[in-house]
Amino acid sequence: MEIRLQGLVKKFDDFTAVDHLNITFEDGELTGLLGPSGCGKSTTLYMISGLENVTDGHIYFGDRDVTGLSPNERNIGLVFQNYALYPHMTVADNIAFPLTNMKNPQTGKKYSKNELREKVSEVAQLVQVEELLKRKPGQLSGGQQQRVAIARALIKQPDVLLLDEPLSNLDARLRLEMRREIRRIQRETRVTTIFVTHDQEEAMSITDRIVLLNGGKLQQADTAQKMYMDPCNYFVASFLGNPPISFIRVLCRNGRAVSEDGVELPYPTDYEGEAILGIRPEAWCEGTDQGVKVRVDSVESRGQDQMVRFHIGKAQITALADAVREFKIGEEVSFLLRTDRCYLFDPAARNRIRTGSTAV
Amino acid sequence: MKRTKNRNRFVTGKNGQLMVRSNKAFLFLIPPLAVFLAFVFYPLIMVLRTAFYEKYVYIVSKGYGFGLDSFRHVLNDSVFWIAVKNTGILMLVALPATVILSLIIALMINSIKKLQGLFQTLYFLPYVTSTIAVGTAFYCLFHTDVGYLNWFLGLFGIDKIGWLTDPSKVIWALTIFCIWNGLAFKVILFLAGLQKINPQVYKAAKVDGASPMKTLFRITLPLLSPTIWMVVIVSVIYVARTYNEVYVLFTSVKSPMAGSGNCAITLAYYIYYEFFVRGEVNYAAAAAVMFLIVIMALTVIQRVISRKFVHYVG
Repeated sequence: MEIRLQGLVKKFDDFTAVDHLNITFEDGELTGLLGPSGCGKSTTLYMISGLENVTDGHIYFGDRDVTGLSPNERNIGLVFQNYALYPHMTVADNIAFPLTNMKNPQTGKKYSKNELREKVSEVAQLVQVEELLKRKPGQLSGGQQQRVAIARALIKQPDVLLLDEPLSNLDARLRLEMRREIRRIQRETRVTTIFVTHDQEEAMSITDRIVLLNGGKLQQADTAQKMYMDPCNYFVASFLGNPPISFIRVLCRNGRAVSEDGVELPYPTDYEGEAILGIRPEAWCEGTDQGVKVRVDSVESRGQDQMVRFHIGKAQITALADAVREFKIGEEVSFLLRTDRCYLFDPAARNRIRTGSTAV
Repeated sequence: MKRTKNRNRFVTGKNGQLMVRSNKAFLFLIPPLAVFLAFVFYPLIMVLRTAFYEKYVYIVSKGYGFGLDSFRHVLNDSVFWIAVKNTGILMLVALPATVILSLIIALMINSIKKLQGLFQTLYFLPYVTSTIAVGTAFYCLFHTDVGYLNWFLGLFGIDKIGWLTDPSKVIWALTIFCIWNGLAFKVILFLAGLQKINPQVYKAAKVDGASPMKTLFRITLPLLSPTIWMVVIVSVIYVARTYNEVYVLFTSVKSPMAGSGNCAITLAYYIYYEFFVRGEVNYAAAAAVMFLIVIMALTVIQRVISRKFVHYVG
């Protein structure tokens, strides 16, 4: 089911946590709600779930306005960050619990024991916890608890599955495994899923689309690839990418960009005026004498490639270079730029400056 | 050689942490052990011994004979049976009432957001107030002629009731006092138990569509069951030892009896009465031994029941 947020606002006293959000989550897609901590992503998720009141604006599930409805009237499944399983119930009882509170829509009666058992085993099979049904949550590992929490959220076949930082309590290896699992389960069920995370890698790896928030405001909603390649503002460019993008203040004149310290950069542009130039680390490539000459400050090997750090004037720059080349600290290197990985931003509004041609 | 020595010094504890084995630990155990031996273990043995004397002269601390005479005497004493009956009523009425009431109060305090601290303090105040002071207030409340309770009932045309004097009514005055006096501590224990429950579990229950009643019975109470059970166990022992309440409501300088004809006596007060008032040390000891056996039996029963109904989350 398609979920539409319209002018959504959440205020806590004087603090505006969520500021006029207009977002559409597409039907059947896995959307990552990404942003730094305190950006309002969890608040947004809890407003969609109905656990948090809305200060202003509307939430639509399909054509239905659910803004004033309680969580159980919205038909959602929610997986909490710490799973919030019922510790005194077995796994089977945990998973069945939502169904014991409702009537079977087909028969109009309460679910019988047999129906419950069937449903539980069906969803347990989907998340692969069939062997654990008789155990209590305290006897499960973090990843297993996560699976049970997803099963409990999925058993009533919700219109939306909401996941609040589902991987943050797991260790690194389990995190990789569980994020593939969440993707698989989402693909199999085709349930519209919203996944809150502060980890860009997590969001980029498994989601169909990313919604990036900062300070309660929508920054960009796009596929991971598009957002990385074509950031719409300074924040988006700075938030995505590891190692992060480097910024340098430049003055563009006569088709050339010159740094504020007077260093001419190999970046032809038809923009005129002051700007901030964002350069992705992979944009740098070692070149001939035409490039910008820099002195290497430090080198960090990452196995498949290496991070080379240097200065241009006062600006700290990181470049990614091939692993084969050996850089020495203090060595002078001449670098050229791939202009399709460089972006100009307005120094005041921090919006992207799009120029007619950035081709070499 | 060195390795075996190390193996003896370091022991792996239950939860896998490494601990050092050291004989110095005994040194630290001696002070509490000495106190325990002198003030708990020795008196316990002496009570056991005294209960089996046939005669005991308190002034010279000398006992004579060995047998079950003291037990026989106590079991044939009608006052002892009044004490058993009264203690039984307290167990069956005051105990469940005080546990259920304090649970309800704790649930209510826990569900309000504003002024929670104020209510917590208000309900805890009785606990830090001396039973004697509270008892004096209740004495004024229950007084037949000038008490507030009879004045209040009088507004509805109900005749004066001898709360503290009528042998058929005294146990109810005692019960009401015990219920009230036991509330404060239990409310605090329940509140602590309730606040330990993960609030996200309630959110999950809300998303899962559980009604408030179902949330109470399927989520809150099972998760609170270790606390409930602990409160019950503590209360059983507390109620069984009811003594202060009897002393302050029913005795006076002129009469150390618990009401006329000892009608409000409890087991603990009976032991006190036989010892200090009548000087029958061996009877008091025999009653104490029987009291101990009953308490132990109750505790065993409680343990058996708890395995079935209490969810310990580990």
